[in-house]
Amino acid sequence: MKSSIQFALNGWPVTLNTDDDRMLLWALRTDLELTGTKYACGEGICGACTVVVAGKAVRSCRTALKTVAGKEVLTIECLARDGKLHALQQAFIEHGAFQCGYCTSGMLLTAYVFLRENPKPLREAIVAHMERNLCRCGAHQRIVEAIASASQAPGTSS
Amino acid sequence: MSPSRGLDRRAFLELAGGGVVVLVALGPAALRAQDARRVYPEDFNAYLVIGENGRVTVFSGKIEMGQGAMTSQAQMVAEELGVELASIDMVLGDTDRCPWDMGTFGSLTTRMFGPALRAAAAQARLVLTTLAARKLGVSQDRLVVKAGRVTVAGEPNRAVSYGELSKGARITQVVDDKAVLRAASEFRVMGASPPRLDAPEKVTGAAKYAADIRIPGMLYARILRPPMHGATLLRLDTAVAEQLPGITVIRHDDLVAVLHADPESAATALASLKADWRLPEAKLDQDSIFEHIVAYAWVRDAEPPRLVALLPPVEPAASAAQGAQAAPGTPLGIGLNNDR
Repeated sequence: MKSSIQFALNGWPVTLNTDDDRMLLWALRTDLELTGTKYACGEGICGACTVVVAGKAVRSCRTALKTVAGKEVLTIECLARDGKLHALQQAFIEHGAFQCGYCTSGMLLTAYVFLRENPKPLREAIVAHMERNLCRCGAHQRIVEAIASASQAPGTSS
Repeated sequence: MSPSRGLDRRAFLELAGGGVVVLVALGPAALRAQDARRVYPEDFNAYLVIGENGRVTVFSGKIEMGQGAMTSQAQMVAEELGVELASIDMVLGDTDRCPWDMGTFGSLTTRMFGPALRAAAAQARLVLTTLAARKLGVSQDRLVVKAGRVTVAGEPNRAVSYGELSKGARITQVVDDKAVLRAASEFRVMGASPPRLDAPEKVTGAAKYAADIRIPGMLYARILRPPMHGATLLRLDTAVAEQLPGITVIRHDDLVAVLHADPESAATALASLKADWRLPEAKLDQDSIFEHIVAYAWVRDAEPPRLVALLPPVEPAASAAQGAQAAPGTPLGIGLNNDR
Protein backbone atom coordinates (compact mmCIF):
# COMPACT_ATOMS: atom_id res chain seq x y z
CA MET A 1 0.00 0.00 0.00
CA LYS A 2 1.30 3.40 -0.94
CA SER A 3 2.10 5.43 2.14
CA SER A 4 4.51 7.83 3.74
CA ILE A 5 7.09 5.97 5.82
CA GLN A 6 9.38 7.67 8.26
CA PHE A 7 12.33 6.19 10.05
CA ALA A 8 15.79 7.15 11.24
CA LEU A 9 18.53 6.01 8.87
CA ASN A 10 22.06 6.10 10.24
CA GLY A 11 20.99 8.87 12.57
CA TRP A 12 19.15 10.94 9.97
CA PRO A 13 15.38 11.27 9.55
CA VAL A 14 14.12 9.76 6.31
CA THR A 15 10.69 9.98 4.69
CA LEU A 16 9.76 7.73 1.78
CA ASN A 17 6.52 7.98 -0.15
CA THR A 18 6.22 4.52 -1.57
CA ASP A 19 4.56 1.12 -1.38
CA ASP A 20 5.09 0.02 2.20
CA ASP A 21 5.08 -3.66 1.21
CA ARG A 22 8.39 -3.12 -0.58
CA MET A 23 11.46 -4.60 1.01
CA LEU A 24 13.83 -2.39 2.96
CA LEU A 25 16.77 -3.67 0.90
CA TRP A 26 15.48 -2.06 -2.28
CA ALA A 27 14.51 1.18 -0.62
CA LEU A 28 18.08 1.42 0.68
CA ARG A 29 19.75 0.46 -2.59
CA THR A 30 17.47 2.18 -5.10
CA ASP A 31 15.61 5.05 -3.41
CA LEU A 32 18.36 6.03 -0.97
CA GLU A 33 21.33 4.95 -3.12
CA LEU A 34 23.10 3.20 -0.26
CA THR A 35 24.58 0.24 -2.11
CA GLY A 36 26.72 -1.04 0.74
CA THR A 37 23.79 -3.31 1.66
CA LYS A 38 24.00 -6.22 -0.75
CA TYR A 39 21.37 -8.20 -2.61
CA ALA A 40 22.37 -11.83 -2.88
CA CYS A 41 19.89 -14.68 -2.32
CA GLY A 42 16.83 -12.49 -1.87
CA GLU A 43 15.29 -15.11 0.39
CA GLY A 44 16.76 -14.29 3.78
CA ILE A 45 19.12 -17.24 3.70
CA CYS A 46 22.61 -15.83 3.13
CA GLY A 47 22.78 -12.71 5.31
CA ALA A 48 24.53 -10.45 2.78
CA CYS A 49 21.71 -7.89 3.11
CA THR A 50 21.81 -7.72 6.91
CA VAL A 51 21.12 -4.32 8.47
CA VAL A 52 20.30 -3.26 12.01
CA VAL A 53 16.69 -2.32 12.83
CA ALA A 54 15.92 -1.17 16.37
CA GLY A 55 19.08 -2.82 17.60
CA LYS A 56 18.46 -6.19 15.95
CA ALA A 57 20.22 -7.65 12.93
CA VAL A 58 17.61 -8.30 10.23
CA ARG A 59 17.63 -9.51 6.65
CA SER A 60 16.63 -6.43 4.70
CA CYS A 61 15.57 -8.47 1.66
CA ARG A 62 12.73 -9.92 3.77
CA THR A 63 11.93 -6.85 5.84
CA ALA A 64 8.91 -4.90 4.59
CA LEU A 65 9.23 -1.14 4.79
CA LYS A 66 6.09 -0.83 6.90
CA THR A 67 7.77 -2.80 9.69
CA VAL A 68 10.58 -0.26 10.08
CA ALA A 69 8.34 2.81 10.36
CA GLY A 70 9.39 4.92 13.32
CA LYS A 71 12.42 2.78 14.03
CA GLU A 72 16.15 3.28 13.87
CA VAL A 73 17.90 1.65 10.89
CA LEU A 74 21.67 1.30 10.70
CA THR A 75 23.57 0.23 7.56
CA ILE A 76 27.23 -0.48 6.87
CA GLU A 77 27.70 3.11 5.75
CA CYS A 78 27.48 4.34 9.36
CA LEU A 79 29.72 1.79 11.07
CA ALA A 80 32.78 4.02 10.68
CA ARG A 81 32.33 7.23 12.64
CA ASP A 82 34.08 10.54 12.05
CA GLY A 83 36.42 8.97 9.54
CA LYS A 84 37.50 6.32 12.02
CA LEU A 85 36.83 2.66 11.31
CA HIS A 86 34.94 0.59 13.88
CA ALA A 87 37.06 -1.96 15.74
CA LEU A 88 35.30 -4.72 13.80
CA GLN A 89 36.14 -3.13 10.46
CA GLN A 90 39.75 -2.72 11.54
CA ALA A 91 39.86 -6.34 12.67
CA PHE A 92 38.41 -7.55 9.35
CA ILE A 93 41.18 -5.69 7.53
CA GLU A 94 43.92 -6.98 9.80
CA HIS A 95 42.70 -10.56 9.60
CA GLY A 96 41.97 -10.43 5.88
CA ALA A 97 38.48 -11.60 6.75
CA PHE A 98 37.13 -11.57 3.19
CA GLN A 99 38.14 -12.02 -0.39
CA CYS A 100 35.51 -10.60 -2.71
CA GLY A 101 33.88 -8.72 0.16
CA TYR A 102 30.29 -9.20 -1.01
CA CYS A 103 29.18 -10.78 2.28
CA THR A 104 31.24 -8.37 4.39
CA SER A 105 28.61 -5.71 5.10
CA GLY A 106 26.23 -8.35 6.42
CA MET A 107 28.97 -10.11 8.36
CA LEU A 108 30.05 -6.89 10.04
CA LEU A 109 26.55 -5.79 11.05
CA THR A 110 25.65 -9.27 12.30
CA ALA A 111 28.84 -9.29 14.37
CA TYR A 112 28.23 -5.71 15.51
CA VAL A 113 24.88 -6.58 17.09
CA PHE A 114 26.26 -9.84 18.46
CA LEU A 115 29.18 -8.16 20.25
CA ARG A 116 26.91 -5.49 21.71
CA GLU A 117 24.87 -8.24 23.32
CA ASN A 118 27.84 -10.53 24.03
CA PRO A 119 30.94 -8.41 24.63
CA LYS A 120 33.05 -11.36 25.75
CA PRO A 121 31.92 -14.30 23.66
CA LEU A 122 33.46 -17.72 23.59
CA ARG A 123 34.80 -18.70 20.19
CA GLU A 124 32.10 -21.37 19.94
CA ALA A 125 29.45 -18.71 20.47
CA ILE A 126 30.86 -16.62 17.63
CA VAL A 127 30.89 -19.63 15.32
CA ALA A 128 27.34 -20.54 16.24
CA HIS A 129 26.07 -17.00 15.82
CA MET A 130 27.75 -16.39 12.44
CA GLU A 131 26.63 -19.69 11.01
CA ARG A 132 23.70 -18.18 9.16
CA ASN A 133 25.86 -15.70 7.27
CA LEU A 134 27.34 -17.33 4.20
CA CYS A 135 30.71 -16.55 2.59
CA ARG A 136 31.30 -18.28 -0.70
CA CYS A 137 34.97 -17.32 -0.75
CA GLY A 138 35.43 -19.38 2.39
CA ALA A 139 36.73 -16.72 4.76
CA HIS A 140 34.78 -18.02 7.77
CA GLN A 141 37.80 -18.93 9.86
CA ARG A 142 39.29 -15.47 9.44
CA ILE A 143 35.90 -13.85 10.08
CA VAL A 144 35.64 -15.68 13.40
CA GLU A 145 39.20 -14.67 14.30
CA ALA A 146 38.48 -11.05 13.42
CA ILE A 147 35.32 -10.95 15.54
CA ALA A 148 37.13 -12.56 18.45
CA SER A 149 39.94 -10.02 18.24
CA ALA A 150 37.48 -7.11 18.12
CA SER A 151 35.62 -8.44 21.15
CA GLN A 152 36.52 -7.82 24.77
CA ALA A 153 37.01 -11.49 25.46
CA PRO A 154 40.26 -11.99 27.37
CA GLY A 155 43.28 -12.94 25.33
CA THR A 156 41.64 -12.06 22.05
CA SER A 157 41.70 -8.28 21.81
CA SER A 158 44.11 -6.94 19.26
CA MET B 1 47.84 -16.18 -41.90
CA SER B 2 48.28 -15.09 -38.35
CA PRO B 3 46.89 -17.03 -35.46
CA SER B 4 43.85 -15.37 -34.04
CA ARG B 5 41.94 -15.70 -30.85
CA GLY B 6 39.50 -18.56 -30.79
CA LEU B 7 41.92 -21.12 -32.18
CA ASP B 8 42.40 -24.02 -29.89
CA ARG B 9 45.86 -24.87 -28.74
CA ARG B 10 46.29 -27.72 -31.19
CA ALA B 11 45.27 -25.66 -34.19
CA PHE B 12 47.53 -22.87 -33.03
CA LEU B 13 50.51 -25.20 -32.78
CA GLU B 14 49.87 -26.52 -36.25
CA LEU B 15 49.68 -23.01 -37.66
CA ALA B 16 52.77 -21.95 -35.80
CA GLY B 17 54.73 -24.84 -37.22
CA GLY B 18 54.32 -27.29 -34.39
CA GLY B 19 57.15 -29.31 -33.00
CA VAL B 20 59.30 -29.27 -29.96
CA VAL B 21 60.64 -25.77 -30.33
CA VAL B 22 57.23 -24.19 -30.18
CA LEU B 23 56.19 -26.41 -27.31
CA VAL B 24 59.20 -25.32 -25.31
CA ALA B 25 58.29 -21.74 -26.04
CA LEU B 26 54.77 -22.21 -24.79
CA GLY B 27 55.02 -19.59 -22.13
CA PRO B 28 53.86 -16.02 -22.06
CA ALA B 29 55.08 -15.30 -25.56
CA ALA B 30 53.11 -18.12 -27.15
CA LEU B 31 49.95 -17.28 -25.27
CA ARG B 32 50.31 -13.70 -26.34
CA ALA B 33 50.94 -14.86 -29.88
CA GLN B 34 47.50 -16.39 -29.97
CA ASP B 35 46.39 -12.91 -30.76
CA ALA B 36 49.30 -11.49 -32.65
CA ARG B 37 47.81 -8.02 -32.75
CA ARG B 38 47.44 -7.77 -29.00
CA VAL B 39 50.55 -7.97 -26.85
CA TYR B 40 51.51 -6.37 -23.59
CA PRO B 41 53.23 -3.07 -24.31
CA GLU B 42 56.99 -2.79 -23.88
CA ASP B 43 56.91 0.88 -22.88
CA PHE B 44 56.63 1.08 -19.11
CA ASN B 45 54.72 4.34 -19.39
CA ALA B 46 51.70 2.22 -20.32
CA TYR B 47 51.75 0.62 -16.87
CA LEU B 48 52.61 3.39 -14.48
CA VAL B 49 52.72 7.10 -13.96
CA ILE B 50 54.72 8.74 -11.20
CA GLY B 51 53.11 11.93 -10.00
CA GLU B 52 55.05 14.99 -9.00
CA ASN B 53 54.01 14.22 -5.42
CA GLY B 54 55.66 10.82 -5.69
CA ARG B 55 52.46 8.80 -5.82
CA VAL B 56 52.62 5.98 -8.33
CA THR B 57 49.52 5.14 -10.35
CA VAL B 58 49.57 1.64 -11.80
CA PHE B 59 47.37 0.64 -14.74
CA SER B 60 46.44 -2.97 -15.31
CA GLY B 61 43.83 -4.91 -17.21
CA LYS B 62 43.80 -7.55 -14.48
CA ILE B 63 40.89 -6.86 -12.16
CA GLU B 64 40.27 -7.51 -8.49
CA MET B 65 37.53 -10.02 -7.74
CA GLY B 66 38.57 -11.22 -4.34
CA GLN B 67 41.68 -13.09 -5.39
CA GLY B 68 43.90 -10.23 -4.23
CA ALA B 69 45.10 -9.02 -7.62
CA MET B 70 44.92 -5.37 -6.65
CA THR B 71 47.35 -5.90 -3.82
CA SER B 72 49.63 -8.46 -5.46
CA GLN B 73 50.16 -6.30 -8.53
CA ALA B 74 50.92 -3.28 -6.36
CA GLN B 75 53.44 -5.40 -4.46
CA MET B 76 55.18 -6.30 -7.70
CA VAL B 77 55.50 -2.67 -8.72
CA ALA B 78 56.59 -1.55 -5.26
CA GLU B 79 59.26 -4.24 -5.23
CA GLU B 80 60.73 -3.61 -8.66
CA LEU B 81 60.35 0.17 -8.71
CA GLY B 82 61.63 0.67 -5.17
CA VAL B 83 58.67 2.52 -3.65
CA GLU B 84 56.46 2.03 -0.62
CA LEU B 85 53.33 -0.06 -1.13
CA ALA B 86 51.33 2.74 0.46
CA SER B 87 52.40 5.16 -2.28
CA ILE B 88 50.71 3.14 -5.02
CA ASP B 89 47.25 3.74 -6.46
CA MET B 90 45.80 1.00 -8.63
CA VAL B 91 43.65 1.54 -11.72
CA LEU B 92 42.26 -1.82 -12.79
CA GLY B 93 40.28 -2.81 -15.84
CA ASP B 94 39.63 0.68 -17.20
CA THR B 95 39.81 -0.09 -20.91
CA ASP B 96 40.44 3.55 -21.77
CA ARG B 97 43.52 3.82 -19.59
CA CYS B 98 44.93 0.35 -18.94
CA PRO B 99 47.07 -1.74 -21.26
CA TRP B 100 45.09 -4.30 -23.26
CA ASP B 101 44.46 -7.55 -21.50
CA MET B 102 42.76 -10.76 -22.57
CA GLY B 103 40.92 -10.99 -19.26
CA THR B 104 41.28 -12.03 -15.64
CA PHE B 105 40.99 -15.80 -15.51
CA GLY B 106 42.96 -19.02 -15.37
CA SER B 107 45.37 -17.92 -12.63
CA LEU B 108 47.20 -15.90 -15.29
CA THR B 109 47.61 -12.62 -13.40
CA THR B 110 50.72 -13.49 -11.44
CA ARG B 111 52.46 -15.81 -13.86
CA MET B 112 51.49 -14.17 -17.18
CA PHE B 113 50.93 -10.50 -16.55
CA GLY B 114 53.18 -10.39 -13.49
CA PRO B 115 56.45 -10.66 -15.41
CA ALA B 116 55.38 -7.92 -17.84
CA LEU B 117 54.35 -5.64 -14.98
CA ARG B 118 57.50 -6.31 -13.01
CA ALA B 119 59.65 -5.73 -16.08
CA ALA B 120 57.93 -2.40 -16.67
CA ALA B 121 58.53 -1.30 -13.08
CA ALA B 122 62.13 -2.46 -13.17
CA GLN B 123 62.72 -0.62 -16.44
CA ALA B 124 61.19 2.53 -14.98
CA ARG B 125 63.53 2.21 -12.04
CA LEU B 126 66.55 1.85 -14.34
CA VAL B 127 65.55 4.93 -16.30
CA LEU B 128 64.90 6.94 -13.15
CA THR B 129 68.23 6.03 -11.61
CA THR B 130 69.93 6.94 -14.87
CA LEU B 131 68.30 10.35 -14.68
CA ALA B 132 69.21 10.62 -11.01
CA ALA B 133 72.85 9.81 -11.68
CA ARG B 134 73.01 12.60 -14.21
CA LYS B 135 71.28 15.04 -11.91
CA LEU B 136 73.40 14.18 -8.87
CA GLY B 137 76.62 13.97 -10.87
CA VAL B 138 77.62 10.49 -9.74
CA SER B 139 77.83 7.13 -11.41
CA GLN B 140 74.77 4.96 -11.18
CA ASP B 141 76.40 2.24 -9.13
CA ARG B 142 76.78 4.67 -6.23
CA LEU B 143 73.03 5.19 -5.96
CA VAL B 144 70.61 3.62 -3.50
CA VAL B 145 66.86 3.55 -4.06
CA LYS B 146 64.48 3.44 -1.18
CA ALA B 147 60.85 4.51 -0.86
CA GLY B 148 60.88 6.37 -4.17
CA ARG B 149 64.01 8.31 -3.28
CA VAL B 150 67.39 7.98 -4.97
CA THR B 151 70.30 8.71 -2.65
CA VAL B 152 74.06 8.71 -3.09
CA ALA B 153 75.35 5.89 -0.90
CA GLY B 154 76.75 7.26 2.34
CA GLU B 155 75.60 10.80 1.57
CA PRO B 156 71.96 11.02 2.68
CA ASN B 157 71.72 14.69 1.79
CA ARG B 158 72.52 14.10 -1.86
CA ALA B 159 69.20 12.74 -3.01
CA VAL B 160 66.40 13.22 -5.50
CA SER B 161 62.91 11.78 -5.45
CA TYR B 162 61.13 9.94 -8.25
CA GLY B 163 58.52 12.68 -8.21
CA GLU B 164 61.13 15.36 -8.86
CA LEU B 165 62.63 13.29 -11.66
CA SER B 166 59.40 12.46 -13.45
CA LYS B 167 57.56 15.69 -12.68
CA GLY B 168 54.40 13.70 -13.30
CA ALA B 169 55.12 13.52 -17.00
CA ARG B 170 55.66 10.64 -19.39
CA ILE B 171 59.27 9.54 -19.08
CA THR B 172 60.81 9.54 -22.54
CA GLN B 173 64.39 8.82 -21.59
CA VAL B 174 65.69 5.73 -23.36
CA VAL B 175 68.33 3.49 -21.93
CA ASP B 176 70.14 0.78 -23.81
CA ASP B 177 70.22 -1.68 -20.94
CA LYS B 178 67.43 -4.02 -20.03
CA ALA B 179 66.57 -3.94 -16.36
CA VAL B 180 67.13 -7.11 -14.39
CA LEU B 181 64.30 -8.30 -12.18
CA ARG B 182 65.02 -8.66 -8.50
CA ALA B 183 65.84 -12.15 -7.31
CA ALA B 184 63.45 -13.81 -4.89
CA SER B 185 66.10 -13.62 -2.18
CA GLU B 186 65.97 -9.81 -2.43
CA PHE B 187 62.20 -9.52 -2.06
CA ARG B 188 60.95 -7.20 0.65
CA VAL B 189 57.40 -6.48 -0.51
CA MET B 190 56.63 -9.45 -2.71
CA GLY B 191 56.01 -12.59 -0.71
CA ALA B 192 54.79 -10.62 2.29
CA SER B 193 51.12 -10.46 3.32
CA PRO B 194 50.24 -6.79 3.71
CA PRO B 195 46.64 -5.73 4.38
CA ARG B 196 44.68 -5.79 1.14
CA LEU B 197 44.52 -2.48 -0.69
CA ASP B 198 40.84 -3.07 -1.43
CA ALA B 199 40.07 -3.70 2.25
CA PRO B 200 38.98 -0.21 3.38
CA GLU B 201 36.32 0.17 0.71
CA LYS B 202 35.03 -3.33 1.31
CA VAL B 203 34.56 -2.94 5.07
CA THR B 204 32.81 0.40 4.68
CA GLY B 205 30.39 -0.64 1.96
CA ALA B 206 31.92 1.88 -0.42
CA ALA B 207 33.18 -0.74 -2.90
CA LYS B 208 31.16 -0.70 -6.10
CA TYR B 209 30.23 -4.13 -7.41
CA ALA B 210 28.68 -4.59 -10.83
CA ALA B 211 25.17 -4.53 -9.34
CA ASP B 212 25.94 -1.26 -7.55
CA ILE B 213 26.85 0.68 -10.66
CA ARG B 214 24.14 2.87 -12.09
CA ILE B 215 24.53 4.33 -15.53
CA PRO B 216 21.94 6.71 -17.01
CA GLY B 217 19.50 4.81 -19.20
CA MET B 218 20.61 1.45 -17.85
CA LEU B 219 18.07 -1.36 -17.51
CA TYR B 220 18.14 -4.47 -15.31
CA ALA B 221 17.10 -7.75 -16.89
CA ARG B 222 15.53 -10.67 -15.13
CA ILE B 223 15.43 -13.91 -17.05
CA LEU B 224 12.64 -16.46 -17.01
CA ARG B 225 14.28 -19.73 -16.01
CA PRO B 226 12.88 -23.07 -17.16
CA PRO B 227 11.93 -25.31 -14.25
CA MET B 228 14.24 -28.06 -15.44
CA HIS B 229 16.84 -28.90 -18.03
CA GLY B 230 15.31 -29.61 -21.41
CA ALA B 231 11.99 -27.88 -20.68
CA THR B 232 10.35 -26.13 -23.61
CA LEU B 233 8.00 -23.17 -23.44
CA LEU B 234 4.48 -24.09 -24.52
CA ARG B 235 2.63 -20.89 -23.71
CA LEU B 236 3.55 -17.52 -22.26
CA ASP B 237 1.21 -14.85 -20.94
CA THR B 238 2.95 -11.48 -20.52
CA ALA B 239 -0.23 -9.38 -20.24
CA VAL B 240 0.29 -8.34 -16.62
CA ALA B 241 3.96 -7.52 -17.11
CA GLU B 242 3.24 -5.46 -20.23
CA GLN B 243 0.87 -3.28 -18.17
CA LEU B 244 3.55 -2.40 -15.61
CA PRO B 245 5.07 1.04 -16.21
CA GLY B 246 8.57 1.05 -17.66
CA ILE B 247 8.69 -2.68 -18.35
CA THR B 248 10.05 -4.15 -21.57
CA VAL B 249 9.50 -7.83 -22.31
CA ILE B 250 11.96 -9.49 -24.65
CA ARG B 251 11.42 -12.93 -26.11
CA HIS B 252 13.66 -14.95 -28.35
CA ASP B 253 12.20 -18.42 -28.75
CA ASP B 254 12.25 -19.94 -25.25
CA LEU B 255 14.48 -17.23 -23.81
CA VAL B 256 12.39 -14.59 -22.09
CA ALA B 257 13.57 -11.54 -20.16
CA VAL B 258 11.89 -8.57 -18.53
CA LEU B 259 13.73 -5.27 -18.31
CA HIS B 260 13.29 -2.27 -16.05
CA ALA B 261 15.33 0.64 -14.75
CA ASP B 262 15.27 -0.79 -11.25
CA PRO B 263 15.89 -4.45 -10.40
CA GLU B 264 12.96 -4.68 -8.00
CA SER B 265 10.40 -3.77 -10.68
CA ALA B 266 12.05 -6.22 -13.07
CA ALA B 267 11.64 -8.95 -10.44
CA THR B 268 7.97 -8.02 -9.92
CA ALA B 269 7.38 -8.23 -13.66
CA LEU B 270 9.13 -11.57 -13.85
CA ALA B 271 6.91 -12.95 -11.12
CA SER B 272 3.84 -11.85 -13.08
CA LEU B 273 4.71 -13.93 -16.15
CA LYS B 274 2.52 -16.98 -16.63
CA ALA B 275 4.48 -19.69 -18.38
CA ASP B 276 3.48 -23.23 -19.26
CA TRP B 277 6.38 -25.55 -19.86
CA ARG B 278 6.60 -28.95 -21.43
CA LEU B 279 8.81 -30.92 -19.08
CA PRO B 280 10.89 -33.83 -20.27
CA GLU B 281 10.50 -37.02 -18.33
CA ALA B 282 13.24 -37.12 -15.73
CA LYS B 283 15.57 -40.05 -16.30
CA LEU B 284 17.65 -39.39 -13.22
CA ASP B 285 16.98 -38.90 -9.55
CA GLN B 286 19.05 -38.42 -6.43
CA ASP B 287 19.85 -42.11 -6.29
CA SER B 288 20.98 -42.53 -9.90
CA ILE B 289 22.74 -39.20 -10.64
CA PHE B 290 26.12 -40.25 -9.31
CA GLU B 291 26.37 -43.38 -11.37
CA HIS B 292 25.22 -41.43 -14.40
CA ILE B 293 28.04 -38.93 -14.00
CA VAL B 294 30.62 -41.62 -13.48
CA ALA B 295 29.44 -43.57 -16.48
CA TYR B 296 29.42 -40.59 -18.84
CA ALA B 297 32.54 -38.68 -18.05
CA TRP B 298 35.08 -36.91 -20.17
CA VAL B 299 38.23 -38.96 -20.15
CA ARG B 300 40.76 -36.52 -18.88
CA ASP B 301 43.69 -37.33 -21.11
CA ALA B 302 41.90 -38.49 -24.22
CA GLU B 303 42.65 -36.43 -27.25
CA PRO B 304 40.52 -35.23 -28.84
CA PRO B 305 37.98 -35.07 -26.02
CA ARG B 306 35.47 -37.88 -26.28
CA LEU B 307 32.47 -38.86 -24.31
CA VAL B 308 32.75 -42.44 -23.16
CA ALA B 309 30.97 -44.91 -21.01
CA LEU B 310 33.72 -46.09 -18.73
CA LEU B 311 32.08 -48.23 -16.14
CA PRO B 312 29.05 -50.43 -16.13
CA PRO B 313 26.55 -49.46 -13.45
CA VAL B 314 27.73 -50.96 -10.21
CA GLU B 315 26.21 -51.50 -6.84
CA PRO B 316 27.54 -49.03 -4.25
CA ALA B 317 28.92 -51.87 -2.13
CA ALA B 318 30.75 -53.44 -5.07
CA SER B 319 32.04 -50.03 -6.10
CA ALA B 320 33.58 -49.42 -2.70
CA ALA B 321 35.21 -52.82 -2.76
CA GLN B 322 36.82 -52.09 -6.12
CA GLY B 323 37.92 -48.63 -5.13
CA ALA B 324 41.48 -49.56 -4.34
CA GLN B 325 42.17 -51.11 -7.70
CA ALA B 326 40.58 -48.76 -10.19
CA ALA B 327 41.32 -49.80 -13.75
CA PRO B 328 43.38 -47.63 -16.07
CA GLY B 329 41.10 -45.12 -17.73
CA THR B 330 38.99 -44.55 -14.65
CA PRO B 331 38.01 -40.90 -14.75
CA LEU B 332 39.86 -38.82 -12.20
CA GLY B 333 37.41 -35.98 -12.37
CA ILE B 334 34.79 -34.41 -14.48
CA GLY B 335 36.03 -31.72 -16.79
CA LEU B 336 37.01 -30.89 -20.31
CA ASN B 337 40.48 -32.07 -21.08
CA ASN B 338 41.58 -28.76 -22.55
CA ASP B 339 41.67 -27.08 -19.15
CA ARG B 340 45.39 -27.04 -18.43
